[in-house]
Amino acid sequence: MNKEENRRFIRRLIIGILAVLFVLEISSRVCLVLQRNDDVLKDNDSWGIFQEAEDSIDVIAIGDSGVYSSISPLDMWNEQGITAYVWSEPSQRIHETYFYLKRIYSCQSPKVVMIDVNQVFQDPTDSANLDSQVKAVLADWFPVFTYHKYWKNIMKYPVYRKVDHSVTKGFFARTSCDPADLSRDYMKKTKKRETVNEASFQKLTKCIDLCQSQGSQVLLVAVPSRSDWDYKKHNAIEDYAKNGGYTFLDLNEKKKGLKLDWETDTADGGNHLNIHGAVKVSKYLGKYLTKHYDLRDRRKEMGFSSWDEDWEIYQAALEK
Amino acid sequence: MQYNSFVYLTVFLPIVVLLYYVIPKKRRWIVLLAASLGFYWLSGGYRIFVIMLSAVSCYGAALWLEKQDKIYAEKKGELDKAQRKQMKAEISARKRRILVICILSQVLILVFCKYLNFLGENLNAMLGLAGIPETIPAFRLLMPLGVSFYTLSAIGYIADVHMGKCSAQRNYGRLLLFLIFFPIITEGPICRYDQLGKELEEEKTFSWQCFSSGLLLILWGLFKKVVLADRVNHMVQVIFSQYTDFSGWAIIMGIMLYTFQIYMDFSGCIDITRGSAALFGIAVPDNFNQPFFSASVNEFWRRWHMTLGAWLRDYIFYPISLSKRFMNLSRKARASLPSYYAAAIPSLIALAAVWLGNGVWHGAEWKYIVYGLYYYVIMALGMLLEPAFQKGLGILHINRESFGYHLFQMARTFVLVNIGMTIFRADSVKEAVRMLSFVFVQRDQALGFRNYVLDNGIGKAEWLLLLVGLFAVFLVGIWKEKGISVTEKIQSMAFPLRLGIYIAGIMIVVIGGAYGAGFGAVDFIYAQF
Repeated sequence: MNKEENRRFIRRLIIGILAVLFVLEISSRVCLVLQRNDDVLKDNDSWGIFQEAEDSIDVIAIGDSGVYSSISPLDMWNEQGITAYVWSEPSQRIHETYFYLKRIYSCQSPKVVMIDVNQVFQDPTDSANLDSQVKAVLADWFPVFTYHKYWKNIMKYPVYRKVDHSVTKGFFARTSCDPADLSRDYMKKTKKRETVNEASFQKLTKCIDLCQSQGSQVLLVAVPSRSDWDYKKHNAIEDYAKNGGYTFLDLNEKKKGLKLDWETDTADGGNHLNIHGAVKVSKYLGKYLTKHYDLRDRRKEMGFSSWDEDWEIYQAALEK
Repeated sequence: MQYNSFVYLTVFLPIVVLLYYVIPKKRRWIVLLAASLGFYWLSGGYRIFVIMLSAVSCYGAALWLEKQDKIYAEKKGELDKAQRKQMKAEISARKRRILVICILSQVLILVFCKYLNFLGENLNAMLGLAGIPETIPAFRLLMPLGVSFYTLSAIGYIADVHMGKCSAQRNYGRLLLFLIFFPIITEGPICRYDQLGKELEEEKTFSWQCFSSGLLLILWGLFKKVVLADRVNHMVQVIFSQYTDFSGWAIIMGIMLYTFQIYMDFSGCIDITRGSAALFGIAVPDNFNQPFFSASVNEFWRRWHMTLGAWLRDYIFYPISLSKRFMNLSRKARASLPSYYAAAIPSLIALAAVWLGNGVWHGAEWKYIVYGLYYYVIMALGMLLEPAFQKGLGILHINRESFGYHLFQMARTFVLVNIGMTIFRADSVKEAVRMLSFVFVQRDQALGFRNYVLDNGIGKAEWLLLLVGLFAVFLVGIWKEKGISVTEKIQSMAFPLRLGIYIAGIMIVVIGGAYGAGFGAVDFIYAQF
C-alpha cells in the first residue's frame, strides 16, 4: 500500500471503529429498556436501583439467579423495615459483580453488602476466567453484551411496564412449584473441597475490598440450592472466609432456622426457590441482619412511603 | 479458548494481528508460533508437550528421509547400474521402515490419548464373555486439543516428504507452527504441508482485500455458530434425550435441527478459522462446499468435511488401491467379472478401509464406527446397483438430467444424511435405531411438533430469526454454486454501504447471538473429536 492508501485505510478504520462503538452504545440503551418486564413479579430489573432515592438502600444482595430468586427485599421491608435491593443476573460472574458494585456505589452507600459466593464456581479454568473478565469489561462499557437477549421484547414495546421502577427491588418471584428429588443429601458432610480458580477468589477479594473501602460491611452468602450447592463448595468458601476473616452465612446449612420444604418451596426441582421459599429465606435474613448489623427500621422515617406502596402492589400481584 | 469467545475475538486476535504487522516480515512467523503456543497453553495446558513431541518425531523422521535421498544422489554416480539398483532398493526399504515407525508413533499417541479406554472397555467385554472379570481399569485421560486433526496433518507431512511431494522442513519451529497454527488447531481443516506450510513460510504483506475478507468470514462464521447453531442446541438436546415423549413429527424436526446445528457449527467454525488466518494474509483450505446441494451421498462427502475426505483418499484409498497386492487383485477381478464389477469391486474393498477410518476418526465409540460403515453400505449399494438403476430409469423414461430428478436426488441424499446424523448424535446405535423407529410410532400424550418445537422450544421471534438466517445461508450457498463471491461483491461496494454491512453483521451477532445468560455455553461440536 502506498502512503495515500495507508492514510485512507487508517481513516476508514477509525470511522468504522467509532461507528461500531456508537451503535453498541445505542443498542445498550435500548436493551436496558427492553429487559424490563411488565409483570411486576418478574421485573427483577437490577438497573432499577438508579431509580431509588440516593443513599436510601441499606443492604445490597448481589450474585447470580439464585439471589434474585431467594431474596425478597420487600419481605424484609415489611418485617424489619430494612431497605434492601437485589442486583443479580442469570449466571452472573464475580468479574461482573465487581463492575456492578462500582455502579451501585455511584448512587448508594449500603451498610451491608451480601455477596453470593456461588459465582466463584462458575469459571473453573483459567481461560474461562479470562473470558469472563473480558466480557465483564465489555459489558460494563456496553451492557448490550449482557442484556442482548431481550431484543425479542421489541415486539411488546412501547406497551410496556406500568411502573417506572422495579417494584420488587430486583427480586424475581417464581410462583410455580416443581418438587426436588430428595433422595440425595446435597449437604452431606465431607472433608473434600471444591477447587476454585485463583482468579475468581482474587476478584472476590477485590469486591470485598471495594465494599470495605466504601464503608460497607460484607456478608458472604450461599443461597439455598440443591443443584448448585454442596458441602465441597461450603468447605472451599469456609476456608476462604476463615483465612480472610470474613463472615460467611451458608443458608443451605440453616435447615432448622429456614424450615425450607423442598417439595413446596422450589420452582424447578431444587435449583431455584419459588416465592414460598424466598419468603422464608427473606424473613430469616431480615432477622439475621438486624441481629448482626446496625440497621435502622426505616418504616417510621420520612421519604420511604413509596416502599409501602410497592409492598401493596407486590401483594396485589401475588394475590392475582 | 474458543474462537467465539470474547477473549479470542476482542483481545487475543487483535493483539496478534497488530504484533504480526508491526514486526519485520522475516520474523512474523515467530509471532504466529508464539501466539499458537500461547493459545494452546491457555486451552490445553501441559498437553502442549504431546503436540511438541509429535512435531519432534515428524521433524526428525522427515530430515532422516531426506538425508537418505541425498546419500543416494551423492553416491549413485560412483556406482554401476546393478549397484545403483541395489542401493535404491535398500534405501527405499529403510525409508519405508522409518515412515512406518513415524506414522505408528503418531497413531500410537492418538490411540493412547483417544482410544485407550475404548479398547479397554471392549477387551473387558470380551473377557467378560469368557467369564474373566473386568481386568483393564479405565484411565482418566485428557485428550490434547486438536489431536485428531494435527495427527492427520503430521502423517500427511511425513508421507509427502517420503513421496517427495514436499521437502523436509529444516526449522523445527516452522514445522511446529504448521501443526499448531492457532486458527486451525481446534477443528481443522486438516491441512497439507505443501499448501499451509508454504503459506506460513511466505513473507506476507498487508492486503486490505485479504484483511476485509477475513473480517467478513469471521462475521459470517459467528453468525452461523452463535446466532443459528447455538440457538437450537437446547431443543436438540431435549428432543434427543427425551425422544420417547415426542411425536414422530417432533422427532423428525429434532433430527433435522441437529443436522442444521452441526452444519452451522462446523462450517461456522471453519469460516472463523479461515477468516482469522486471512487477517494474516494466510489462505486455509475450505472444508465445505454447499453439502446439502448434493445429489448423492458420494457427492455429499466430497462437499462435507472436504479435507478429511481428501486426506482419507490420498493417504488410505490410493496407497491401498495402488499397492501391488491390490493391483494383482484387480487384474484377477478383470479376468473373472463383468467389466463394471471388475472395476467397482476392488474400489469397494479399498473404500471399506476409508469408511472404517472415517468412523474411527470421529470418536472412540461404536456408534461412530457404525456411522462410517453406514455411509459405506449406502455407497457400496449405490455402486453395485448402478446398472440396475440405469436400466430401471430407462424403462420408466426418467431423464437423469432433468431438474425434477435432481431435486429428488437432493431430497433423497438429505434424508440419508439425516439418518446418519441420528446415529452420530444419539447416545448409541441402539438408541438411534429406537429413535428412528419412534418416528413411525403413534403415541398418546406425546409432545408434538406444535406444542413443544414451535411454542416452547424457542419463541416466535427466535424462529423468525432462524428462518431468516437459514434463508441467508441458502442464498449465499446458491450464489457460491453459481460462482458469485459475496465477499467480492461487498468489497466492490462504496465505503458507506460496506461499513453499513459490517456494522449490521456485528450487531446481528451481538444482539441475536445465543450467548451469555439464559444460554449454556456450547462448545464447537467437532472440537470434541
